[in-house]
Amino acid sequence: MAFGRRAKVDSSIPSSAMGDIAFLLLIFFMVSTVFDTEKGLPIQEPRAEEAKKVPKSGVMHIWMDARGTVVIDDMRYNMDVVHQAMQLKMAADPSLIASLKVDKDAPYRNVSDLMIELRKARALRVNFSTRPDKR
Amino acid sequence: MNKMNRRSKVSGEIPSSAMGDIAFLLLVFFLVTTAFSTEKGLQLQLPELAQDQPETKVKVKSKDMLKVEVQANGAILVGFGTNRQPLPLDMLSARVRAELDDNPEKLIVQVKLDDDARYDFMIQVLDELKKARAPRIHIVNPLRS
Repeated sequence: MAFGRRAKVDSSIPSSAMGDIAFLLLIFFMVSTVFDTEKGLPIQEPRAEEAKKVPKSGVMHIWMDARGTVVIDDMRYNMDVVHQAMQLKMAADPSLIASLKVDKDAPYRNVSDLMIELRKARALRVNFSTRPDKR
Repeated sequence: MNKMNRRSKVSGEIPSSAMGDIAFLLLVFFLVTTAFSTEKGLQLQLPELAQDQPETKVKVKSKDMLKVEVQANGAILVGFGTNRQPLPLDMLSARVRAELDDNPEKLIVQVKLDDDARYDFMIQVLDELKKARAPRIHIVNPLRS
């Protein structure tokens, strides 16, 4: 009789594989997480619309605040010795991109001097780092 | 009572019922702390600096060199040779694009900034030039003695 039949479909959601899925995602995020190892300087970067992504590897950061303090690898440098630090870096990897993280209120005088120092060290591939747009 | 007959009631299994919870806890932690590096910027190739040998000078006709001058207060003057007119920043890319249409092969855009101009102005001008797809950008970069 049709009315006497009971559906045999199980109504519970199978949850035995949930732990496996959680572990899979966990391993993905553990592998892809990169903790910031550089402190740098507290700066406010300028904003630009045409900014392009910078590759993750082969980039070194040069920080400069509005007062002209230069920091590379969390070490402070005077402007006239920046090229020496850069020369060592360029000797290790000649295709290095120098990413300038400069405060938007820094005067061009300091930016220009920094660019001269980079050119002295033949670090000619330069990226002017800008603030990520959060729309 | 016979001691030999007693069986230990301690289970030999590792309790694994909470493992999923621990995995989720760690998963949420890594989800929250992960910040995919999204560094962005304007790329530029700097010219070589001839330190030892005398600088090789290349003559450029003044009609091939569009000069963009940025003053300390951010005002912009644009033009060829000594004939430069003020131009608002948002008109710059349209102007450069128009000049590029006239002279796509040779046009060089030279950006000259006042020493006291803020870095922000430089990036804004560079951004406008990138918008106009200017292939040859030269930023005046004086060597100080």
